[in-house]
Amino acid sequence: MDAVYLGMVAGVYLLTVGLVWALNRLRGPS
Amino acid sequence: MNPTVQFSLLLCAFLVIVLACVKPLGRYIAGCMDGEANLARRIGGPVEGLLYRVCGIDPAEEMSWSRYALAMLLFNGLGVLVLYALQRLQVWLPLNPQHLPAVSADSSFNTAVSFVSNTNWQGYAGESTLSYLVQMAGLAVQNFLSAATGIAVAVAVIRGFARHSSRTIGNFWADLTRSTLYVLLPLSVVLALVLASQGVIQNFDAYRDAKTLEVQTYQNPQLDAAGNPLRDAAGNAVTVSATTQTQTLPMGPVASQEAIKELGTNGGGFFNANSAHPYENPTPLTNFLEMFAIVVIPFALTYTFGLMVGDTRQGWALLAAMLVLFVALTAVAFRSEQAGNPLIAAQGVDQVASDLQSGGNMEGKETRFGIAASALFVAVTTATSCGAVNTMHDSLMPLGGLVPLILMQLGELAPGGVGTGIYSILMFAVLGVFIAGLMIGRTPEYLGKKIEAFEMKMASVFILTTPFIVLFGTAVAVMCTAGVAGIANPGPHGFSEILYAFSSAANNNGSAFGGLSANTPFYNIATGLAMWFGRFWPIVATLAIAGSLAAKKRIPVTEGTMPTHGPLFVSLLLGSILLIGVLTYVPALALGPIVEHFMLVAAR
Repeated sequence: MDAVYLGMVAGVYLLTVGLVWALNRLRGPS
Repeated sequence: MNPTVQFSLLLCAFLVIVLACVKPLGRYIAGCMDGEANLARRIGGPVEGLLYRVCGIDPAEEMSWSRYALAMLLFNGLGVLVLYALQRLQVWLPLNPQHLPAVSADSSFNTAVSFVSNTNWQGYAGESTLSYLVQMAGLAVQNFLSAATGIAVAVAVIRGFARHSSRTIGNFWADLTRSTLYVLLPLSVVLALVLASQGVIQNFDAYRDAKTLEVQTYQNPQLDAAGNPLRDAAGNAVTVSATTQTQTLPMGPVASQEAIKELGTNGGGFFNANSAHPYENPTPLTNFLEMFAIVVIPFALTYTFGLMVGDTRQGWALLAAMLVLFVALTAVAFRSEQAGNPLIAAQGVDQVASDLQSGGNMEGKETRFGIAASALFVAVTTATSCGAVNTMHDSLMPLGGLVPLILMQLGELAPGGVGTGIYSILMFAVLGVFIAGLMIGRTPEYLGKKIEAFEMKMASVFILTTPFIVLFGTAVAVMCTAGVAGIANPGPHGFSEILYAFSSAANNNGSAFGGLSANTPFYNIATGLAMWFGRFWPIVATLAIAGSLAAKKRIPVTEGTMPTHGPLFVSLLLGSILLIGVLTYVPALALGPIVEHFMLVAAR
């Protein structure tokens, strides 16, 4: 059970890091 | 005393005291965050330096917005893991005199995200679920760190407006450390001592059993194997009648947690009853102090903003907009609650205020606080991202319950959470000048910075993320069995309970219409996801705007520049906030509290 929820934490974390990457690409190198 | 006069006096006294602190506290925060040498920094400097050395941090090293965001995410991601582990392992850890078992995986996930995201939504009852160690080393620590994250992000965003031709917006680790050491810790120590002097408990004792004078009968809700409440054919909860003559008095280190719970606009109570519990909030004075503590930093940050951008009038203008929203909606909450419930009045119950009672709708309220102090607390806790409660929001009248819903759905910016309030209203300021620019045909500017396509895209991400989570989450919940199973009151109020849950989670408030049985795998996962994305996606978009603005050149003020410190701008700002809020949420509100109000009127 723990693996499911820890996986969920990893998932939302990576999605948010992905947003940083995407917005940075949109803006250009900062 | 006439209840309206009583409420007006309370509100005036409250605002006068809060506003008197805005300038000194705002100046102090600006000084601490900008590295100014003040008394606090002279005392805490060695600790700050030691922390940097231990962690290998150079506080002078500046970060781009993306590095700042990644550092913030890394820190908070680790916070979730630590808090999750503490709950799952609490049975083997010290400071657990009640020998409480490990918290379930879904509840641990929800609580970990909840406290890291400054939401403090609590699907569990603290006194029967969490050990003292988890409350202190887990929840209270995150109360500090999540609030400090908010201040750090706010200061970084302000730097984005204040700087020009710069690629950086500060150092996250330094901002986090300074806001914790110099702002939150000292204020919390002082408030904790004052609260303890008023009767808020602070101990590590095991719980005590007291024999009650009368045998108490209560209804015990029945759960199915999955932990969902059982229902009969009519959809009502199945309960079993039980009796007891023993009351367990929970103990614990409450005062220390209570102080940061309010100052950090966290709101997670040590006890399930939160600030309605006499060990958390024993007297009218503590009630006043707790409300004061909730709003003082968010309001003060408007002055910090003004100072840091070099024009304090800009901060006062934002504060004026916050005050208009706050006072107007607080008055609605009070009027609605003081008017009472017409259906109860029709049964011959006296709801008229007198020397002996507050009158009005006292269901779910503490008699020692009455209507005025309860209605003000309702507004204070949802105008910020706090979520602490001294009255049960589920028992508010339909229009009274509409107020906290709207305050949260507008984005909690009047004055908003610690840090989140100021950057949220700044995003609406960006939107406001953009709309004004469209109307007069000029490139929009704010504080000497051109607001261009990238800023508007980011402001859109910021403004639309939360409503999407709220409305999508509510829609999913009302369409699936696991979502509907949690409702205590089928019908429009049940819809309101779900709408409130997602509004609270996505806006990182944490208060609830408590009739909803939310400690189920469905709600623990759904609100957990809502809290994470509702917290960190808007923050990332805000930091992106900060980075973009910091890189821009400052445009000189000309005759064509729209002033952003006067009543016109305040009106424009309020219009933008209300326009977005109304367009987004009125359909959903019409299905919940508004139709419930009309049903009440029709039944009368």
